[in-house]
Amino acid sequence: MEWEDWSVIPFHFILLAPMVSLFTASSSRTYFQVLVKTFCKTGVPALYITLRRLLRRVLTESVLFQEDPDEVDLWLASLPLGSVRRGSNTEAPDGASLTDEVDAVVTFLDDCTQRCLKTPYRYMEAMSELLQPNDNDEQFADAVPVDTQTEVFSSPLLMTVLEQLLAKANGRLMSPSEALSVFTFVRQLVVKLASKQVDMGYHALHAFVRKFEVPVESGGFFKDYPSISRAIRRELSITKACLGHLGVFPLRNIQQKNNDSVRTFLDRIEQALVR
Amino acid sequence: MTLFGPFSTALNKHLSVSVRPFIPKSRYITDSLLAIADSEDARMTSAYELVDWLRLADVTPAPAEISCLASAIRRFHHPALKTLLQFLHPSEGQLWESGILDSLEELVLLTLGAKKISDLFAGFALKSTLSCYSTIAVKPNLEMYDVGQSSCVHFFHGTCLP
Repeated sequence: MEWEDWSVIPFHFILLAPMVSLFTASSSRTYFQVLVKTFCKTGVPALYITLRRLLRRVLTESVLFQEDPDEVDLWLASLPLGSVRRGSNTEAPDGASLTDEVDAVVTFLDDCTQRCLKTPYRYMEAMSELLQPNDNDEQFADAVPVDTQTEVFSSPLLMTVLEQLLAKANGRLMSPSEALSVFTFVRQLVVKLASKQVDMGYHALHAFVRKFEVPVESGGFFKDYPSISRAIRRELSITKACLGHLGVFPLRNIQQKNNDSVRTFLDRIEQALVR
Repeated sequence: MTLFGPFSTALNKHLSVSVRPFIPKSRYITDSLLAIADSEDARMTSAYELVDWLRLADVTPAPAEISCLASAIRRFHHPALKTLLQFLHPSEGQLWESGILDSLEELVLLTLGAKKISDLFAGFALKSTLSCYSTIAVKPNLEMYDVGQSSCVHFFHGTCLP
């Protein structure tokens, strides 16, 4: 069965969904991927609401969100819902091709979901290790111990996202544009997950973010694409600023630069005539 | 001036249909008036291109400049303003000092009433986080918890949309 006609297939599929596994593959894509992509892109409120209910039901009944079914809402809300619409052949200043954000995030998330469903306990253990880092780990020398009674990520899927994003970005298994899209998704997700933490120090989330710090801050991702690399660092910086602001950490003031150039550019944009 | 060099090339490349002339390759900024094509798709693409500019160009616009950017995006494709907010850096004071909120009454995420917002955050620790801050800005059709920076809005984005 082909899944190219997004306007027809979802309605048809919704009727069948209870009878099949959403994580079964059709051609090269799973039904889950098709539905999430349609969920992100549809402009039809009725379809959006129906898909949201379906995805919520499927995910809350899975092992992924068995600890906290309400967390599904935060994951769905972090998806790039019709966010950035790009024209064809769009490029970043460094020449990196900029592609559809929804495609990148949904494909990545589908892969993570399938991996996590296969070995959920492996990722639950990984989460425990994250929250209780080894004392010999220099990267976490200044980390505040996490109180697992008050701070916990419910879904092991988060650890799959962490593992796969680092692996795919390091191994160039995703394009620079796809990596940026996923980092933006992770940023949205982490900040939303803060809303379910009881301890406002957000130490568990900080521990999660620190896993990205070393490779990102050292410019390890996409060194030959400085614009993308910088944008990924910016995503991480926004994540930390949001957690810091919601917590007890002071904000840093960022120095503004190149303002003459920015001003000139924006002056020209302001003069653009819309016909 | 290298800031807009590569980006202007990219802009010209993919916006050549929708924006003419945008930024000529021979000079970074043109003196001639720019014109945006009348198709909705072209204006939408241009608006999101400006959002990408904030994400990808090595710039740190001041709040007044963010206001100009928002003004252009508003004219090109108003819904893209919602996306712009997602990419403002909380540490740069761009949201609260740029006055963007003054024109956001139409946006879904900011037109929710107080009851709706409290319902959405019911049971979440965020609710108590918000109560820690004393300043709450209330405007007609606009309910916004002013915590001094924009991280609060980052919460609103995902939790309230669409």
